[in-house]
Amino acid sequence: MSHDTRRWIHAETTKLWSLPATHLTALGTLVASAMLAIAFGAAGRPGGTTVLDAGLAPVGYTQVGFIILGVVAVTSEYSGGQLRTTLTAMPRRTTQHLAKLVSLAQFALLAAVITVLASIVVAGVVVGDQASLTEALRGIGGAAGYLTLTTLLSAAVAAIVRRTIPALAGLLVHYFIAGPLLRDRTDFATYLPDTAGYRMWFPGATGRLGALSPLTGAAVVLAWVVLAVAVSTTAFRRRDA
Amino acid sequence: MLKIDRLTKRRGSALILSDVSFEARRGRVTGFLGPNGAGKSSTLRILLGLDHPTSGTALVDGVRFAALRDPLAKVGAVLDGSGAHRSRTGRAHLNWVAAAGGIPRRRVDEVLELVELSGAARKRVGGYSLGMGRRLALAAALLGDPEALVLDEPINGLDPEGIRWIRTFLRERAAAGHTVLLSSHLMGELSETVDDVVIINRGRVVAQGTLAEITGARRNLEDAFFALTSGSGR
Repeated sequence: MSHDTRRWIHAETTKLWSLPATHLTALGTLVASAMLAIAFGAAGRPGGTTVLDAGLAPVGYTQVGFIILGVVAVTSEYSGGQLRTTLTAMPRRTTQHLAKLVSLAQFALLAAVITVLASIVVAGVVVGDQASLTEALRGIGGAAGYLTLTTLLSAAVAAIVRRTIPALAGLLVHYFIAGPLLRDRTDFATYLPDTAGYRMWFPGATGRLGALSPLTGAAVVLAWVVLAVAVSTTAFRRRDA
Repeated sequence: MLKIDRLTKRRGSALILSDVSFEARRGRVTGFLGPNGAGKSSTLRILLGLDHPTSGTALVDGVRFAALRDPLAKVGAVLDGSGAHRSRTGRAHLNWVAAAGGIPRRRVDEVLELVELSGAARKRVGGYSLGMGRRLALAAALLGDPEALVLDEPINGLDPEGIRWIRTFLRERAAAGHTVLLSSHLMGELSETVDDVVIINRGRVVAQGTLAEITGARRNLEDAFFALTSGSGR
């Protein structure tokens, strides 16, 4: 890794951690996820809801927080003319863009591990049972991986759109309206980033949600991320800042 | 040190810049003057690698800005506004810029002191006045103690004391051998500050030379400016 790359990842990390919106989003997501885990744990039939089901089910909702995180990390550059400061300090755009995504992935992974771990622990208390360590680790790994990839995909979309509300609206419509509608009707929906990644965090899914194995699903979501990052990098290089 | 060579910029069908060429030299303050919308900011943005030219080049010591090894030590840029996100503190903003250039944290305190912003370093940028925002932008530009300063309308939003301060500061920078390039649409404010003058109007350079050459027989820079630009129907 070049000197610049290491410095710029450090700068982007400093930038991300000093933005109040990122902490608030991560914290809000953690709290919401734990509360949902309590609700799912308490609502389940006695003996019918496993700790992992109750602990992981919130991911479907709390991914909103990671979508917001990805969008805000990118669109905050366009507030107060900060992007000009960024590009005069870090003028090689591909390196800068990728440095931002690397620092964001680190932040998202950390936030996701804490969020999912907390949800499983809380669910365990409510259900009055424990998940096996292997199952718990697998659940945390899959869910945190899915949430991190979703954050990166959201960031890349935001970098293409460059505005908070349109980027957020488009992503939320996809994940919560278009995605669920399509997956009930068409086979290609299996390969959309929300449906494809479902078994990464919810191994027991059935139907189209369960069509791809967790690893295949992860590969499909990763492919979407790579595609979106490639498009966003090209756009970022070509456009006037 | 800063060399603009035959820059042309089109946006759609609009011709923003046409064949703009000039240089800013070490040890001198170069005033890049013209009315609003003349192409000053567009030229500076291309020089700083923010916008892409349609043709022509803008070089810093013979290199495009984006190819500079250590940009913060080469060029400090002050464009409009603070260049900072409103929800970060002034110090947090400078911290990440310093990190990008591998600049030690104590330099952050130095530049805060220099622009007289130490007292507001822990306040969020959203609570800054216009003048404080401009001073924060200058602080960020000075982090790397750059060889050249590029400032777009540096006296906009400053009170008379601030204007006096920045004039003195820029003169001292030039006297120490640095390059200063500043744009402005306020001619009267600048005649005591600049050594060289480039006048741009409607995307074209209409005159350039030393202050004495441009002012010539006229009473002052302002008169010369209007004589040079009024013919083109503003």
